[in-house]
Amino acid sequence: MTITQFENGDSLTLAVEGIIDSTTAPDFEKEMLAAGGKTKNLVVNFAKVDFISSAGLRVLLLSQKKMAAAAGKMTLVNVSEDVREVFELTGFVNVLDIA
Amino acid sequence: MLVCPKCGAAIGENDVYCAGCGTMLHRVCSHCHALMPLMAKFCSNCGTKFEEAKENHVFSIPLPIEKNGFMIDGRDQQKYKMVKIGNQIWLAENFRFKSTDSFVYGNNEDMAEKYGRLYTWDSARIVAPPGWHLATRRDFNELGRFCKSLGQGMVGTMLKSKDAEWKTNGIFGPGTPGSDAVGFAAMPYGVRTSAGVFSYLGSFAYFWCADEENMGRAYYRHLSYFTGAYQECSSKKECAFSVRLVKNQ
Repeated sequence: MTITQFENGDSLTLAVEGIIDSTTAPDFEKEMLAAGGKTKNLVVNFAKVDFISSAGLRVLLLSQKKMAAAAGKMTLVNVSEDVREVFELTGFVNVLDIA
Repeated sequence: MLVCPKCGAAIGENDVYCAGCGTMLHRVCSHCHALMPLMAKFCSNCGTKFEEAKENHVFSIPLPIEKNGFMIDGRDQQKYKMVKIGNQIWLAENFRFKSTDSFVYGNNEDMAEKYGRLYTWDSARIVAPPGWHLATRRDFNELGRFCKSLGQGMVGTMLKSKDAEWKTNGIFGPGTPGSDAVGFAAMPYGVRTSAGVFSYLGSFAYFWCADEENMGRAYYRHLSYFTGAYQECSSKKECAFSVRLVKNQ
């Protein structure tokens, strides 16, 4: 998994590539929390995420909570069909802001 | 002349049951392989127009036996507990007839007895034995209304079994056990995703509805380990979920 950061005005975009599972989730968590500390408007580009496991979902939920507590916003964009299915089946579609 | 494949008695193409042995008469759709009543002019599953029934089109399906609160599927002799909830009669167990495009979690056949099988929507639509049907949105709505009328807490909690698996902690926090207040006994059997991955055993229960949302998606009911919610959602038809049957009225 690789993560690239882009700044765009007030927002910060993280472009994630690869799979997010129990192996890669710790790195994903570090990057997400660090990025969340730098902006009030975090955009996470999932265009190149092929799979996300429960460990990855846990990171998204944690990041979402931290952003909300700091009056910030986290938005997922370009979510693939397979990953969207995971969000639907777990109820994450009701929790996350998915564009 | 059409004859009953079970007893050989003469039958008419508009007969529902054989007058000689009482077996229910069906034909198989040549396109989607759904079982339809012999008298059907079109397949209600895929819309294929049927030609006039000929002898090799007729199949007999053994009727299920209902006795002492149980339904026995005449096709494989599997026995299911029935439960009356309000004005409806439900199977109090997940269905487990082995049909095309049905699966057991992790491909472990031992799971079927306790949890039933997971069916794609197309398979779920046609798996019920005569006299029973895959629960519809209307059925699930009626079930929800009846549970609410009892005033015993959240509907999802009332439908969940008392099984310890519902207590599993997860991403959203600690699990909350069900009260099984109406005998529905929902089990957290998880899903086989459209990509073929088995997931969420012990966390979520998914039950197909017979109603489709559009060409590629259909509705289902969802119960979660961490909440008493009773949600209606939709998913790709290729996902495989549990099936609950309701007795025809």
